[in-house]
Amino acid sequence: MIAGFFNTVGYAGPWASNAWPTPPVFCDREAASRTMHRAMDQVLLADELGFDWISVSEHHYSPRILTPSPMIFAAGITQRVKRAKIAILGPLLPLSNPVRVAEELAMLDVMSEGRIVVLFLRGTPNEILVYRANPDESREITQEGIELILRAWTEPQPFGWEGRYFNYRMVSVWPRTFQEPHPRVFSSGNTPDSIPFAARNHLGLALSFMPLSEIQHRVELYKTEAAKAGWQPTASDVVYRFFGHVAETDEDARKNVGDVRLDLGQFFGMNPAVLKQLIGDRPMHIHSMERPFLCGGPAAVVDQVGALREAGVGNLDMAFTWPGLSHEQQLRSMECFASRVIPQIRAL
Amino acid sequence: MAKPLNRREQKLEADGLSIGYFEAGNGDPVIVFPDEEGDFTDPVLSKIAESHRIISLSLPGVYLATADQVAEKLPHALTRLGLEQCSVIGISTGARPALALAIAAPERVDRLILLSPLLPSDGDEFPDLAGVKTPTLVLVGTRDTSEAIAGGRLCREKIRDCHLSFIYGASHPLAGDRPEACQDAIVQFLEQGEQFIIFRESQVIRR
Repeated sequence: MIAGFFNTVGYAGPWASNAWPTPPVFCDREAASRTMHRAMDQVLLADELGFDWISVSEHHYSPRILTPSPMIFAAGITQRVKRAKIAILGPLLPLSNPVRVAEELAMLDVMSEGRIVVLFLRGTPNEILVYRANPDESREITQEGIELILRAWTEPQPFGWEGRYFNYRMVSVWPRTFQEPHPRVFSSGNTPDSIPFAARNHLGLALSFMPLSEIQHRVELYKTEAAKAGWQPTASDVVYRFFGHVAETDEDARKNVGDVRLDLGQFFGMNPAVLKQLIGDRPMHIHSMERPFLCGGPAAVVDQVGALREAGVGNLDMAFTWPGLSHEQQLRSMECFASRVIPQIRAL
Repeated sequence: MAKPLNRREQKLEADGLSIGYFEAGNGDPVIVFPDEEGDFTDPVLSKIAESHRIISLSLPGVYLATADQVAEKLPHALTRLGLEQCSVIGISTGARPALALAIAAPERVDRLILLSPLLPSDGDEFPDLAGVKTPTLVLVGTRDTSEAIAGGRLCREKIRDCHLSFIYGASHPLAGDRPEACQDAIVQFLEQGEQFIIFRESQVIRR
């Protein structure tokens, strides 16, 4: 089992609003700077504690995650961390120029000497508004973008791309990625309809913030689709992103996370009628979470990880944040997970 | 939407090579070598015929001839058709005679366009790609056959002035899957040659 640390780079100042977008006036400039330093300290700690990868994500216009450009933060990590992999989970392709994304990731892979892992995403429904993309086309745009990026990383000669959503007459990415043929690529399976694409293209499957039963169902679908494409995925092909909290005892963990629910309205914080339109037929799993997915003392969490492994997950991407948890509590949870859980789940 | 293709069926004898063909459209001439099934979707040809005179060589005469015979005899056939210079399109196996003509008579060929090129595998018949001096566009589908993609890459590598473009989502033969993408690239290359890489559509949103 691979143990990844998801660094949300959450704003270190007081959160004055849960609205999305959050007005910039609430962003204290000093606190923003402190956020970046604190997040980098957390990255160094995760590396020291033995996490296999450190992940960053792309989100916009809110204090929740201060990495609208995950590449910039990842570049910083490459210069400070020399062991752990750097997982960029991940760039939002409907909001991006995919050739630029291919170039930046190739730079990062070279800068880190081949430690980049990547997941390409459509973005949460609200984020499609950021650079004015059409929500109804976000999946098709993302899939074309992934194929273009893979081509840009592997074609030996300059080429053009006559796409449905992208048209380039000259693509010739320098530097080439350090890893040959390219960094490990995951594709989202949160929407079951996206799973055949991942399987057909031999990509890893990334799932997030959903109950165990839904993970099992999606992994089965992935395996079925991969078999049609002539290959057999293993647990190492599946990553699951989630919130987790570990304390000395089950009771301490429950007490620390309290009874704060995390629900969709709070999470997206925007006009419900607009949000409903943006979501369309996408299944939203994070409409309500009573507690972090993994929560408890070390023994209980080891069992919970075992259940994930049985469901077919071989890569954990764990965020230690939860509403109400202090930064110190998060650090203690990381340390507890690293010293008491990771050694027990290595062989899973 | 292009108008339906108005084909004018013809026949030509040139040095013992019997070639059936049809013509369509008016403008600068474009010789088309279809694949062995004669498969090239009308929408793409119709679009090209809006601005060009298409002479599509039909089968089997050209394919029964060797590339050398094509190279030797086709220039005469072009003269009989009153064509001093023309552009040439070769589709799938039609890439072979298209390349043979471009290599044998470089002064007669303005532009060369190959779609999903299937090149011969044996050594003797293999075209001397480095001998192609004509600006060349090669289109292959992202779901094309591995042979066609390999053929496209080889052309890009060996031909001095060659542009390789992937038609996203298209399989072999690719013009049927994404006709609009093919015709845009083909017509722009026919009209602008190597300069078709320059983007000149206005990016103004509102004035």
